[in-house]
Parts: sequence; C-alpha cells; structure tokens
Amino acid sequence: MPIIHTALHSEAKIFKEEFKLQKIKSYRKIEIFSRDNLVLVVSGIGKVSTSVGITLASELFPKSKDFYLNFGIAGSSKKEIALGELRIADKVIDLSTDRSYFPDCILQTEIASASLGSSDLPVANISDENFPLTSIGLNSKIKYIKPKDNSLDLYDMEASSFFQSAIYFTESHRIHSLKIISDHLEGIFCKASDVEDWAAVQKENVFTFLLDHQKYFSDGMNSESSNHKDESLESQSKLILGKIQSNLRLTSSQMSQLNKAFETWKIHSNIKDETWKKFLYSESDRVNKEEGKNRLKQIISYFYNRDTK
Amino acid sequence: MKLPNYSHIYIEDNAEASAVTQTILSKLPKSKIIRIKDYKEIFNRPGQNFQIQKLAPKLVLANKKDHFLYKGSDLAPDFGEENFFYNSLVLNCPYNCDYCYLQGMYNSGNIVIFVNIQDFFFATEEKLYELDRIYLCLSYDTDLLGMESWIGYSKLWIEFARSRPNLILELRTKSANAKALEGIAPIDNLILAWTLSPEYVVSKFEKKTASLKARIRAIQSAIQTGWKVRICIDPILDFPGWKSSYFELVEELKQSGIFSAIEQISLGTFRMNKDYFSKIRKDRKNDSSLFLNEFVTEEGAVFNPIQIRENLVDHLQELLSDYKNVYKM
Repeated sequence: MPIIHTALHSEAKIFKEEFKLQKIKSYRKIEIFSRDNLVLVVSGIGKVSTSVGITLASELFPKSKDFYLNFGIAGSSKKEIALGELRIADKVIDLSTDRSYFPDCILQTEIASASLGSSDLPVANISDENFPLTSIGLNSKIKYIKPKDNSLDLYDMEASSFFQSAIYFTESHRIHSLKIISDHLEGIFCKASDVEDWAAVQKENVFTFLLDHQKYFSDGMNSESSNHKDESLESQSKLILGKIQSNLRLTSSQMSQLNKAFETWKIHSNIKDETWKKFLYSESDRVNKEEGKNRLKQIISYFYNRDTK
Repeated sequence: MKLPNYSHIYIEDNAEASAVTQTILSKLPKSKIIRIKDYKEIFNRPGQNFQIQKLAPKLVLANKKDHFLYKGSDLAPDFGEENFFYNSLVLNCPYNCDYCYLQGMYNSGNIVIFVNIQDFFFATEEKLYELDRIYLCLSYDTDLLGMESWIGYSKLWIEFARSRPNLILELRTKSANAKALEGIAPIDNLILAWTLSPEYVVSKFEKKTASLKARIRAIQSAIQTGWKVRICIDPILDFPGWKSSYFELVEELKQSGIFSAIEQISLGTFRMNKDYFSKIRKDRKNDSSLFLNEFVTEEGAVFNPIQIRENLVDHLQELLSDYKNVYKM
C-alpha cells in the first residue's frame, strides 16, 4: 500500500474522501491519516516538514512502503499549461542545493511530464522593480524568489525533499510526484476551494496512476520462482528435506547445499515429478556421518541432473 | 502497460551538439528529452533497480572524460595477443542475460552512450603508436552491433581501422544484425565474434537477444560477405540437461555449414568477479535459477566447481573434435 504525501489539507481531500481515511496521529502541524495500510501524510508547506512527515509515516507504517506519491499544487513557468492541469515530474531539482532527483518512469500514463524545481520560498516571475513585492494582488508579507532560468517547467516547495527522503525507504521507480498547476508565477496565492476543485477534476487520473503502479509493482512481479509456488507442496518439501537432514545427520552448511540443489531442480523440473522422494530415508536408515556425506553427494548430483542420476 | 524502450533520453549539457547525439535523436523522435549536467547524477544515483529499469530502459547521452582504453581483464580471453585492450563506448547493453556481470557492475539498467567518439579514436591512435599493434575489443560492456541501426558505431570503427592494419578489432554480439554491415567492404583486421548458446539457454537466460537460428543466419550472411567470424560458446552453462542441449547446438552448427568458414571457436565456462556475483546473487536468487547452482570462489572470481568446469569444456571439445582451431579460456 502507498504512502501519499500532500502539503495542504485542500490537496489531501480527494484521498481522505475516496479511501475514507481516519486521522491516526499528529505531530504539531503534521497529520497522518490511514486505513488498511494506505497512509496519507499532510505535512504542511516546506521541505523540512515534508522530510519529517515522510520519515514518520515510513517508520510508523513499514507495510506501506511499496509506493510513495507526492501530490500537490505547483506554479508553472509555461503559460501554455493551463490552471488545473496535471503533470508528473520527470526531473526534480532542489534550487538551494542544485541537486537533481529522477523518478524512474516505467509505466505508460496519460499524464504529461514536466520538470520541477523545489525552492525554500515561493517563486514569482515578476520584474525587478516589483521586488520586494508590494503591488496589489501580491502578498507583501511573503518573501518570494525569482525562477532560476527558463529551463524548468514547474515550481513547488516540497518535491525535492520528498524524493530525498523517500529514497531512504524504497526504490526510485516507486517514488513519484504529481502536480496540479495553480498559477503562472504571478505571486498570487490560490484559494483552498480552487485547489479542491482542481483535485476533484483530476482525481480519476490520480487514482488510476496510483492503482496502475501499485498493481504492476506489487511484490513477486516477473518472478520465475513465483510460478512454482504451491504452498502445500512447499511445506511438504520442507518436511521431507528436514527428515533427510535428520536421518543423514547433515550439518547446517550441508543442509544449505541440499536446499540450493533442491531449489534448482524444482525450477528446472516438472514440479509434479515425485521421484525425488526416494531419498526420504526411513528412521531405520539412519546412517553414520561418513555415509551421510556420500548419500548427500548422491542426492545433490540427482538434483543437479548429473551422471549419478 | 510499460513504456517503450528509450521513451526518455537524458542528455548532458555538453553532449547535445555532438553529431552522434543528433543522429540518435533523429532515430528516436518520440522520446522525451531531459537535460542533465553529468551522466553520473542519473546513472549512479541510489535506489535504482536494475531489472525493473530493464523493463523500459532509458538512454543517457554523455561525454566520457577519461579512460578511453582499459587493459583487458584476466577473466576475458586475449587469444594470444600481447596488447589486449577494451573500451567502454557504451555502458550497459540492450539485452538482459541472466549471467551478465553488468548487473553486478552498475547500479542502473539504463544505457549510457558516450558520444565523443573522436576522443576514443585519438586515445587508440596514441596507444597504437606506442605499442605498434593492439587487440581492441569494442563491445565488451555492451552489444554495439545490436544497436548499430541507431548509433552507427561499428561502421565508424571499421572505417577507422581500415587504414590501420595493426589495430585488430573484435566486435562481439548476440544480435542477428549482420544487415547493419551491408555495403561496408570487409577488412582483415576485424573479427565479428558471435556468442552462441543452445536455444534453451537463449530463451531462458539470454532475454531480448536474437534466437539461435537468427544468429546462425547472420553468421552465414557475414561469412558470405567476406567478414572474419569467430564463434564464442561462452559461457557454457551448467543446468539440468546441458549435455543434450550443447549436443543439439553443435549439430545445428554442423548442419549450417559454417564450420568450414569460421576463423575460430572460443570456449569458456561461467566466471565473474566475486563482488559482482554476490550482488547479483542477492538480487536475483528468487528470479533466476542460474544463481542456485554450485559455485566456488578462486582468487577473487567465482566459477563453477572445477569438476563441473572440466566436464562442460571436455564435452564441448569432444563434440567439436573435428574442428581444429578451438580456443579454451
């Protein structure tokens, strides 16, 4: 199950409603919601809160570390990306450290991708004479920074820290960030109700993305051995191999060799073939160590399909 | 559904202007371009999963800054050549063989192509001047012929070697892409080396490679054009039924009629640097049956136990007893 991160409650609303999440814990402004191992962290704005939120959730819910999704708003430097549109980050740069993070995009998605810069302060693309920002429409109490250059598509205040933290707990193809465009760097804050509306419009895309990734990368995918798993057979094999170990007085290192050989044989052979059970010696067949060694050699050769078959 | 191969191309800032970069971009026009400062920021980052990335590999185009030639490894055959070198024009391979050391050597399953090929030529020229004759393997950490249609490096190296007869090149492949060399006049100082395995091994352990039949057809075509060809049955693998599988392989080769025209057959068993092996075995013990076999460590490398190695090679030598020029690693 995933750990979903948002900075704001307005960004978190679609998840709370869809998955009927309940508040589990709170640490000052960081709040954690959950149901059936699906975890939502609402951290508040900024990199430090994000990092603390991800760490807390990962430690509190170790079973939920198979996917990490950051969802939230971002300003766009590209006018052609309309307000409310959804983008997936294909490159994230921390504007303070210049360090880059690259999600591994493995699956197809309808969501277009974009580069994303994460800053410590809101980014506003306005002319020099308007700094510090005091004109109408701009929040004069907030400090802003200018976009670094024209190479980045989007700006937010959390994604770099989200990637930097989540990589401690999982692999890079399991960490993604989806952003809804909230402004074009005019230095104006959008309303919470706008964010909720945009998120509601995009929620099907977000949930499809989440489910597709979870399904594809669920444990055991593409595993050769998973094709051979049969629980009753597994436990039966364990019992028989254990009996062989006891009868032949095998050491743990010899047992490990036997297990390896059996695994190899199992993967290469028809699992229904029961001829190997001839090696199940009865209690009366208990042998001394030297004879046990010889018989072990014989059994291992059989499993590796060597000459003594 | 997974993305197609090379859906994303990461380009180092200083590699964008290269002619090779432009050629590759023209062959992959639908790919998303992402600019990077240094290939290591994507290739060496933590938390990558080699096998997952192999499902939909990305390209990284970069400039190599140093080490344009490496001394040949003790684990690779030198064919009696004193000055044995290899280069790394490309990191990683379009294929995904279970026994490949690259999955232990690199954190990433993505492919890095170094586009500053002139620097490789310059370093090779210098070494050739210093040593008079060198044997250079071009395709050790990759499969250049398998990517020839969109990189074109094999052709560039052939033209470079054409006027340098003391530069002996080996181009090793598991592709069936002899067609890529059509229209290029063969040269004496290039050996096309095809790695061949029984069809069972190809389908089970050599993912994404050309089938055995397709490789044999490519060999026939290369021979007909006048190229020198070496066959590498390497690694000979130990698996249940290996004897009959390798018998069938040799029979198929005999029937194809290529034995009379090839330069050499090279034989070798599984061997790998022990650190790479430990990493791969840990990652793939539930995924590939190959790593469940018995292995021993000797002088920093992992092998099959000696008796198994001898059985494998002896059996192949016996099957190939009519053929004189067999090189054993």
